[in-house]
Amino acid sequence: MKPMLVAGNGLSASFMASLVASLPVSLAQGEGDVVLLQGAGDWPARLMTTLAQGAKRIILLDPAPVPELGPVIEQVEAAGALLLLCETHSDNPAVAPFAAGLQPVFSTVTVEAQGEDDLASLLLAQIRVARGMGMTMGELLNATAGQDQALAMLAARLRGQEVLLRLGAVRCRAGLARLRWMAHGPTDSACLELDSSGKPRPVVAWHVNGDGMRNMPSLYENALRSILRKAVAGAWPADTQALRDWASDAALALAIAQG
Amino acid sequence: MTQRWGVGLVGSGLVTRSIHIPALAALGDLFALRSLWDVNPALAQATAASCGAQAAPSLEAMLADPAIDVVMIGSPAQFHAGQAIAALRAGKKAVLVEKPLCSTPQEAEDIAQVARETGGLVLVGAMHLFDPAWRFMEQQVAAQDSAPSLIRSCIILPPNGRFDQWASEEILPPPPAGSPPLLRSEVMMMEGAIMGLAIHDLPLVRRLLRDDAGVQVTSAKRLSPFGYMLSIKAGEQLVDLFAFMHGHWRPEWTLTATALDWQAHAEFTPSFVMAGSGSASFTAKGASHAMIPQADNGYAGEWQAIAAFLSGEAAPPDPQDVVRDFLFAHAIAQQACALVAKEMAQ
Repeated sequence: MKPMLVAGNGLSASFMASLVASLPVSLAQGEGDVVLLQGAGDWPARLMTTLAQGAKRIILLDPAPVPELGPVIEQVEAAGALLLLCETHSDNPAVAPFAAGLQPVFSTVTVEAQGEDDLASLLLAQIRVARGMGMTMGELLNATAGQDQALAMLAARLRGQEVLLRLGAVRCRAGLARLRWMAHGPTDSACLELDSSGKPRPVVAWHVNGDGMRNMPSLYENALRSILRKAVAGAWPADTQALRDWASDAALALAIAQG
Repeated sequence: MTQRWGVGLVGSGLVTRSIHIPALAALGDLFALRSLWDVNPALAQATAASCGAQAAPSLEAMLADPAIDVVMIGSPAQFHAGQAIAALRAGKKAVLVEKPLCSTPQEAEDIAQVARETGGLVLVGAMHLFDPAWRFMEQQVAAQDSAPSLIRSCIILPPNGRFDQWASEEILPPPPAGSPPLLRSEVMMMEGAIMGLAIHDLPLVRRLLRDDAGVQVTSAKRLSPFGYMLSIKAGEQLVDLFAFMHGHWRPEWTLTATALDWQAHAEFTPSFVMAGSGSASFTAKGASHAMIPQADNGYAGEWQAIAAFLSGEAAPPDPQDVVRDFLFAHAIAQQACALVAKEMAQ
């Protein structure tokens, strides 16, 4: 198999070298196949530039929330480019199998996140994990925010059931940056705790009810490697719907962060 | 041998049976449980017999007993103020009132006033205030320049009925229900959830706030089958109160205070179980230090604190402290109930 050529944009040389070295058969550094675009604040401008330079396959890594994405989406479509999102939390390979095991038995979901990121990014990660769990967002019922912290309550659905969704985010430079998603029901609880470092650290995942407790097996894999494997396998989105959904979630995160 | 303080217990319910009698039994060098009174004489008799105490024929008789120095009040909250004041007026040295202290702000002020007049001590059985895990956490937080931006109290527990199976044994079966249980409105349920469950850690939350006078409940939702979800603003600080009671046994009782550069976290054991203290950690600058569970929990801590106050080993608390704790909880409950009532009306 010919390795997929990956070029970094906004990523350090050591990061790229280490990444490619970790998947030596699938990847090689170089121009031509895929641009891995780091999603720090100015990412829309860098994405536009990358598109103008002719890139056709782009992986966007942890894009920071921006208020208006319409022109960017139009540009991606006009360029006929394929764009794959890669988000540290929601694309963690533990999320999908955990979500697949959830039953329609929950009435309340809480998500806590802490880390050094800006408040809107912390909130966005929470919303995206909720999406990854198969939740659909309804009305924003309440939001209270300060400079470094926010609390919000939303109507949502999980496995067809109406649930209350609680988001709680706090900026903190101490301790482990992490995100914890937990579902509560009269007979069951389920919890998934994700490390925010982007390292392939295993998640904490369990489900408990009157029958006992189940833990998910440890998985030493992260979102980026998991998405790259998908990209190598050809799992590119056919349209920009995922980016449109992301833009909607980003707008919600920004609204909550503003209280 | 140091003086053993005589104790009388008011009420023979789960709290008395699962908490105070075992805690006192473990502190036999400090306290002697002498008497117990309950409105149900048969239950009082059976409970007293189980722990070598006497069943008092009346509250008045218990309070008139000079061998009783300390009274623990474990009756329903609406009786707390009258019974606490009666105990203080009877010259008892200390009164330990189960939470909440009372039912109204005026009652709280009245209790504190009588405590000042009589010189008696009043403590509220907010056990986590006396838990070594909180003491560790409080000490660490007090040493910081910055205040926590977010305080989260999370209480996930099985229903209280489970504790009869796990933490204690039923001494007498409950009397048959004479009438169907009262239907409780959403507002009543919210008030009960805050003054019955959130009240455990609200004194701790209050101590983590820079200014507890102007708290504003910005959202309040009661959760089914039992629980709550509250957002509270106190100046620049936010408080997240969450509780959920479910049908299985995996409790999670935590208090977390987070600032930009540090985080303090405590994990408590569930109510009723005598599993030792909680544990706590403090994290800053990429390193954590932790307090592992200690032998004595907050229930023992309450009684040890009383002994220390009575013997002069520790300065007695200001009676106004318990009033401030009550007013803080009461304000939150009132605002949350108003929000629920408003939502119900829409």
